[in-house]
Amino acid sequence: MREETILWRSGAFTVSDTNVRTHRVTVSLTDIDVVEVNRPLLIGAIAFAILLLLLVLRFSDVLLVAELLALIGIGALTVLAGLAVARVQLHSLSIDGIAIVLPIWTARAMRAAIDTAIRGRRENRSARPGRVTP
Amino acid sequence: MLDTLGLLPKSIAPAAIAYLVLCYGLGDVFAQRRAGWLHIPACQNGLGADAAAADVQTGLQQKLVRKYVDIIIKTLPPSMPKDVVRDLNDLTQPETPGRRAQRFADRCTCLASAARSETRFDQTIWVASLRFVEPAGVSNFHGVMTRLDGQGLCGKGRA
Repeated sequence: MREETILWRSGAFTVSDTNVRTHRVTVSLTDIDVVEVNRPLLIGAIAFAILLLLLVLRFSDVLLVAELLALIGIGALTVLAGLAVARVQLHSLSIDGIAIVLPIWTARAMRAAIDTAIRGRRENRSARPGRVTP
Repeated sequence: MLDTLGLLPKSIAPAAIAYLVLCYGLGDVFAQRRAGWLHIPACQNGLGADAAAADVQTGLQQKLVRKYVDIIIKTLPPSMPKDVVRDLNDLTQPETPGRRAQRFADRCTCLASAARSETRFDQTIWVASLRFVEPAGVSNFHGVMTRLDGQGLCGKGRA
């Protein structure tokens, strides 16, 4: 029995040359067709930050300087959180879109590792002896 | 309508809830600040004007009370404790301007606080709409204070 090679690991998430493991499920690479990374909070965070900015502009006569700065700070932090939080979705015909919420840098690294693993698997399959390739 | 809502990203809902919660908190802060700047001084001025108008009548009443209190004090037996005589004298003393101003300030602050509690929802709408909508509780805040004063919420209402 061939031992699997770990390509990437972060906390409970592992990408090997045969499967992707999360703390809940293990998905075989053969089941994964599309890996999608998106930012689920970004639009809401930007909308919230715009509203805070409008609040600051419309109520500048009533707000104290500290409150004004705090509102701007909350808006900026919200946008940063929207940028930092990412969701990795694994799609295929056999699995129903497994979604994992991660920081964007981890999500990108995980996606790159899955892409590499899938590419390596396809190359191995096409280079198998006896197989006729065009 | 529901189809349109389905197209909106799911993250809009928590953002909207967070915005409303923030507006609820800020509405009260802004109401307190505006009350301190606008409504409480106006209320104090109003009470001062009312008191000045009533002072003429009060002066006559005090003279009459002083006369009768003097008669009562003279008829008191010498064994009567001095505290009683002092209390009777205090009854006829006119209120000092400082004490009166403090009483008005306390009453107006109490009325503003009660009006703030009553108009909290209106204040939230006012802040959430970025001042584009001004509900009655915000535009007529002084009227709410006057109504509460008439109900005798913070001491004796205006006569």
